[in-house]
Amino acid sequence: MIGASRNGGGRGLEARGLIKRYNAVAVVREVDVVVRPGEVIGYLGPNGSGKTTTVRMLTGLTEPSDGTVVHDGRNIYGDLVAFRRRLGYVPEEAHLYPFLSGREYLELVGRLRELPVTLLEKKIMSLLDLFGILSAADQPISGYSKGMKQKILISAALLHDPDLLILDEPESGLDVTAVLVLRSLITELARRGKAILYSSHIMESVERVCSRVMVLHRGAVVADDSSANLRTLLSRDSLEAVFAELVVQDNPARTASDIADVAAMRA
Amino acid sequence: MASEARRLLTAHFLRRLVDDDLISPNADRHESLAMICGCLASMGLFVSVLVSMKYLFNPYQTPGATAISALFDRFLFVSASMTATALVTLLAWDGLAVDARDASVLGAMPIRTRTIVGAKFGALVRFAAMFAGALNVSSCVIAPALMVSKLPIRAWQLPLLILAQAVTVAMAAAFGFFAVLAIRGLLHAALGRALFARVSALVQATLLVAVACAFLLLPVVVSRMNRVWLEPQSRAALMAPPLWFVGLQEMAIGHIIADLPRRQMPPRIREGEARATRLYAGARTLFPDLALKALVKLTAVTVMAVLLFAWNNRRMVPPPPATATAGWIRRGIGAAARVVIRQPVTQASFFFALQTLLRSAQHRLTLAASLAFGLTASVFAVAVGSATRASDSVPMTAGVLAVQPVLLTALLIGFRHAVRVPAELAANWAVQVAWAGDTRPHIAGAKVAGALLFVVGPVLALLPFYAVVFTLADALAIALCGLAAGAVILETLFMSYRKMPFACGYLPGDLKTILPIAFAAFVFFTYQFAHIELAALRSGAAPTFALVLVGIFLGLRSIDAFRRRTPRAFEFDEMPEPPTQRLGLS
Repeated sequence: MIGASRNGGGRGLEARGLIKRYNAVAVVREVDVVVRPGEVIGYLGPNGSGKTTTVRMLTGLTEPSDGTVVHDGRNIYGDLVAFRRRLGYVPEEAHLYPFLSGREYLELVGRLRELPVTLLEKKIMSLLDLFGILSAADQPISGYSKGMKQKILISAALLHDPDLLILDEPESGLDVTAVLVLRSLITELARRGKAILYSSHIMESVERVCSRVMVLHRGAVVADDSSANLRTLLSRDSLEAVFAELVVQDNPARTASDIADVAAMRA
Repeated sequence: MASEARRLLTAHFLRRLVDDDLISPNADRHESLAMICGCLASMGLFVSVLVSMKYLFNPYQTPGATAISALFDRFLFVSASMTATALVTLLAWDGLAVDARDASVLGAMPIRTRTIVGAKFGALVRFAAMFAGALNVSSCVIAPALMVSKLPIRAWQLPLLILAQAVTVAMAAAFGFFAVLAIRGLLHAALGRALFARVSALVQATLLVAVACAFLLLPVVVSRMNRVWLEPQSRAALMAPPLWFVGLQEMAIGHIIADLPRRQMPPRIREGEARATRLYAGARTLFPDLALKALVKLTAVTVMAVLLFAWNNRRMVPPPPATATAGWIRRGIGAAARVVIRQPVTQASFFFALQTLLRSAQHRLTLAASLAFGLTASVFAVAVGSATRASDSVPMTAGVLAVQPVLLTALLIGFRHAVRVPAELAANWAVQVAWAGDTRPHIAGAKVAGALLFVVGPVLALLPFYAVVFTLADALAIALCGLAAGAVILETLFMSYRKMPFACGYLPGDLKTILPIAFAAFVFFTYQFAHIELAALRSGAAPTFALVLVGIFLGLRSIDAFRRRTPRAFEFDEMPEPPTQRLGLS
């Protein structure tokens, strides 16, 4: 089935006024996220800024305390299943069933997504081959390296050719070659009309693949523009410098020196 | 410095051994631990009071008869302590050595390997001691006290009896613990790391079934042992390890009870007392040998376990590389299943259920426990059924026929429990994200896997047994009835199941209420079924009986399909009720 959204004709993902509170403490405050087909949105923020909480709300795994998430004009919580049929998700942590082999895991996910058997087998073999883990396809995942697990996660997210991809730290554990492949893959998928949210710590990747960048700090969006505009606006020559300007409160060099001093403390 | 590291590591390893947050995100380790220890303590208390009834309600309690009777009580307590500790140790099988995670985390620390290994060993000893203590603490005090409450013993003799009982059951528990540790260590050393990793799960499951059967059959063993083992010619019976410790206890208390002065008693009681006194006097010659055996064997098994533990953990090495599954088996099963199961989601659930049940340690343990229960109940069934039908002219008895329904029901109850336990809690998100909003195909897939493993498998395994005991035609008729009955049981057990098999957080239900009801239903169903099946086989109506069962199965399926006609929402990770409500304090 190739509908309007498969050709990039959909309206993508729109989250408005997202708030998440845990025990009355807001960890995400009034966040708006818009990802259009063909766009790659970089989602940046320091540790504990609320990135993963936002991502989980956008996938429907965590319900927001307030706000709406709309995909192609429909509230995702109205029909979460229909939304997830069109969603590909790579979580931050590579939690997989350790007693399954990589092939078995992909077969499980593919069957749950109701892919035809012959197509599924073809896709699995091709993805495992292209990611360079075909030789380990029948080994239990418990014996996989972090990078191999990440490749399985990315393969699982792509199996059903989703319209919307939400990638939370997808480069985690990947080697240099695989990172380069992933960057090109994201660009290619966007060119084919996929809407992609790319959450990462790696500024270089975000700067290279993302058409727009959102910066989250203490649960709120502090910047939302193209990388080039942000650099111009803040008179910085790199996204890393922009990020430092927006988010980093202390002097990193001083903090590093303080840490080294603490490490050198004697009784 | 090293002792502080050892103390911290021991506490860490002990926490890991009792960790249960792998099955529910909301699991409370202390609550689970308190519940297990509470169950063991109340079991010890219940058995103590139960076995003491015969002393409390005996108007003519005499020293000779009490001394003989006490031997059987001690056999029961010693055996329970030994097998229960061995069971607990078997449940922690994978944690009985410094594992890969310990090696990767602690291997980089500036801590001597022997400190880590020592801490691990200390944690294991404490772990076993905790459960053995919970089981034995009440019986050590109550059983001796109630036993001699009506006998003229001196003030210092009761503490001696209590102390002797405590030391003996503790030594029996130590024997059970070190025996499991020694077996594991011996296999590890003999087979090597890689081969041991491949057979470890099978060995654990086999030992678990054997020890669980021994534990559950204890009351039968005690009642059937009678006084045979006290006869001088029955020295073969002295091979049983619990008897060594009974002998040790007798030596430790110095025959206090048997040597008490006799009072005036009626002639009939006096005769019995004289017989009991003679029997005990004859058995006295056995006790030194038994006591020596207990000390020698316990020392040997302890030394062996410690040395093997130290040898096998002498280096912190990463785990051996995982081995690939055989491709042709996988392809063969996959092709066959695709022919039978058409829907992709049901196929996914079917394969996932098979993979989880056969590969996840947690699920294997559940199934091993239910198999042990099923085998024990089968032995009871044969014993009870044969006894009640001994005069029957037809060799076919309800007891032998009950083996099949008993085994099937026990395994299917175990399976029903296993589907509630997540395959890997942290990985549930994958099923959650790919879920199409309807649990029916998922449950259908799991049920097909359950039917294959726990209905078709056992029925085929029992077919040769019935063919040998009865005739091939009878065996085929029994198998037919078994398949139909299995389908009915499976359908019934899943009527109320509304969640996602193997992919939801697990919260234990109200076991205090469910277990007695489930046990009563189990006994009622299996025995009634066996009697109806017996009548059907005798009258040649077995195919009709099987057809009736198929009709019931189809009826249940229709009811189930009607009840599930609209998919219902459910929580993947259900939150437990607040503690105040669970304790009934609200």
